[in-house]
Amino acid sequence: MTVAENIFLSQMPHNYGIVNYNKMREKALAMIKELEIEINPDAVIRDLTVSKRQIVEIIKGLSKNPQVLIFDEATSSLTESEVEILFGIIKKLKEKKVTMIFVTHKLDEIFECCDHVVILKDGKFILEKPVQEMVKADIIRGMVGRELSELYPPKQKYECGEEVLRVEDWTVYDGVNKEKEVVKNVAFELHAGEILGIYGLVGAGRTELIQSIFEGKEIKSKGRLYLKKQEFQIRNVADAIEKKMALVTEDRKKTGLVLCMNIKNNIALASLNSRTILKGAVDQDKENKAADDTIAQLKVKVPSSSYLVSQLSGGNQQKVVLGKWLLTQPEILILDEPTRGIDVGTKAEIYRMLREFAKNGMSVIVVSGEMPEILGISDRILVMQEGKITGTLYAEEASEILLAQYALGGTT
Amino acid sequence: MSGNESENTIKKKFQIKNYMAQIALVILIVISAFLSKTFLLPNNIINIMKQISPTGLMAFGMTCVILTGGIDLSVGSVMAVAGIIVAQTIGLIGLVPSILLAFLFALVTGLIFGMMITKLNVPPFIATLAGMNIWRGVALVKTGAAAIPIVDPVFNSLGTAKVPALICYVVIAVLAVLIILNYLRGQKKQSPIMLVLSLAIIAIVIWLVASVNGLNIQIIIFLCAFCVVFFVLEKTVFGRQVYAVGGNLDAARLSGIKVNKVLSIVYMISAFCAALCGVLTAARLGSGVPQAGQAGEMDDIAATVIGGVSMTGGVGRVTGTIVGIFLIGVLNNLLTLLGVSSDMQLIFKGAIVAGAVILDTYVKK
Repeated sequence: MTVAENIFLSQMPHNYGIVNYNKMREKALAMIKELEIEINPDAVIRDLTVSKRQIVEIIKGLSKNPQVLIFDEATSSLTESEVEILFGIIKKLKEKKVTMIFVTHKLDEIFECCDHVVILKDGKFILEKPVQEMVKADIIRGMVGRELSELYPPKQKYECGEEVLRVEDWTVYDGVNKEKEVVKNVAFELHAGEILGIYGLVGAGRTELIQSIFEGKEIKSKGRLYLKKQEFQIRNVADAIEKKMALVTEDRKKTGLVLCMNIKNNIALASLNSRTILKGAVDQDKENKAADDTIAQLKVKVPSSSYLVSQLSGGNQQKVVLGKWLLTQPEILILDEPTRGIDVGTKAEIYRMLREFAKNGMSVIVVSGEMPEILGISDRILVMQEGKITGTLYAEEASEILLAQYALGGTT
Repeated sequence: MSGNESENTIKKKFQIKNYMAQIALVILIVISAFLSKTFLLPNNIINIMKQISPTGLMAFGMTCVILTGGIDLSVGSVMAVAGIIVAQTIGLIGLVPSILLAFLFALVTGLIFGMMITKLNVPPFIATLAGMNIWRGVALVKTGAAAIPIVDPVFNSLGTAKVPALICYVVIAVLAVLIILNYLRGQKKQSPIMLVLSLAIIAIVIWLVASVNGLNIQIIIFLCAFCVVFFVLEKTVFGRQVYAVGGNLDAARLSGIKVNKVLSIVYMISAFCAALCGVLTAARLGSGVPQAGQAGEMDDIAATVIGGVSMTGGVGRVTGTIVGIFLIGVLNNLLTLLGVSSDMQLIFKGAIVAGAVILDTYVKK
């Protein structure tokens, strides 16, 4: 649909049910002019850049003459120059006495365009104050300050094992906005037997970073990868599995499990090529045994492996995903938000298992936006902010305040 | 495993809702037996099977495609072109090469669909709709819309020949042994009901073979094709990949399955089934008919859906599809026996499809 049609989607100007295109176009043009930006009202939305689409979205909101306008992470898909345009619009709206709520996790933006700030944490209200009376540190302090519980297994003294994976100069591009770099010149290394935490806020590029390593050429990226000090490339996921890598994805229902399949078929999914006989026929005895072993090892609470995974609770589903990857016998196990939507008991179990794997020499990467989780489980922590690694911390020196500082890009 | 509460809440049982099509078929057969005295005679049953055999083949390929969440509208046209290829080339290059040529055509067609869908992101519906029109057009243009007679006794026997009873018995015996072995190997996993049912079906087939002294070759090919597709979908890695791609494409890709390859092969299978059907139909009619298989894709989709295969992919079995094929076949046969016109039959067929799907979604809620 065109820009004008989108703006007036819910209130098309019409004469007895027939759309008055001229009037619609005029009105749209007037609104665009008012904001002093350049968008052709006849352009089709899909031809516009992401930022222009965002602006159309805002104009659409304005067309209803609102008293209050809410932006929810409006800048997360925009580049820096595009954010400037957005802020320009916000300032103009402010002059017109429109009240705006700006939901964000980027501290700089708060100081740039807000008058008043409210801090929420874990669904609870923390404080409200005018922005002038605050500095970044105040906000950071308000956002952190939880306790570490008994959830996490004890760490041994950190001993640096052999280098397993090294990433150099790694840049990843956004899937939609091809010009935008979501990960910028990142470098890190991973050792045998360690749990490496990658922390960052939503949009910091943590998921994109590990996805681009695991999916290889299927995602636009550039840089160098070294596996055990040998430079290598990954063509696709099958290739990554062959190189003994595994990725437990962020959203188990969308990208981890085939929900209409049973447990054993899901567990076998990533190892179909390694446990077959007769050139292509599935050895169902082997499959049953592997599934039963996995269920026993991970303590999945289910009477039989022929149940559908959709019948399981979130925690047990996550264990099935984990089991699927363990069956490929990975040397590098990457987990993205491994405990999202999981009860506390299962969380503790998963943490214990991860520590166990690391003790046995596996390299584990845990990507998470949950500070206590990262602090509790990791031997070493990389902090990302807006696509860059802004800090590397060892477990002994890490604290919530430090993590927050690196993640928010603020200085105290 | 310890007796935890959450374990007991999930119970597995023989679920009637998974066998709606089978139950409907049994009910239909019982009703038919009451309504028509000739219905249960062996000759009539053989007739039904002859009717459904060639077109039913295409439904097996269609099942593979629909399991991936796609659709193939081109099968009727591919079938016609395959028959014409044989009719036009059999005099020039001989029997076997002409049939192989028809198969080659089908595989290439399927591959092109696969490429369009995976590389160019054309929706399957559109890609195969284009194929449907193009190949139907080619069939009509190349023949001037007239049937091309085939005079080759060996080829024509592919349509009418009877396989002697003895060979049938051997094939059936092998099948029975395989089924029993599979049951014994599967430990406690399968319910004995299924074993008894499959053996009962085999007994019925033996009775049929005995009473008409042998089976038509097309029926044998149809049943063999069913066994092959059943094996591929249920037992092989590729079959598992088909279900995974249809069930959750992203999860399949992120588990290292080459999604594009699976999709391409599935369309090749479907086109191959269509070509096989085209060759058999040409053999039975003794000519390559450009109008053959018109709207055939709709019957196949209907059979597949009645059999419980989900149009969104990932769910369903080819055992359901064959039941769907029989359901349509039996219904048509009954209506014919009762003297209902073929135009009227269409209305019944439509009602059955709608009813089956409504029932299916209703029961599964």
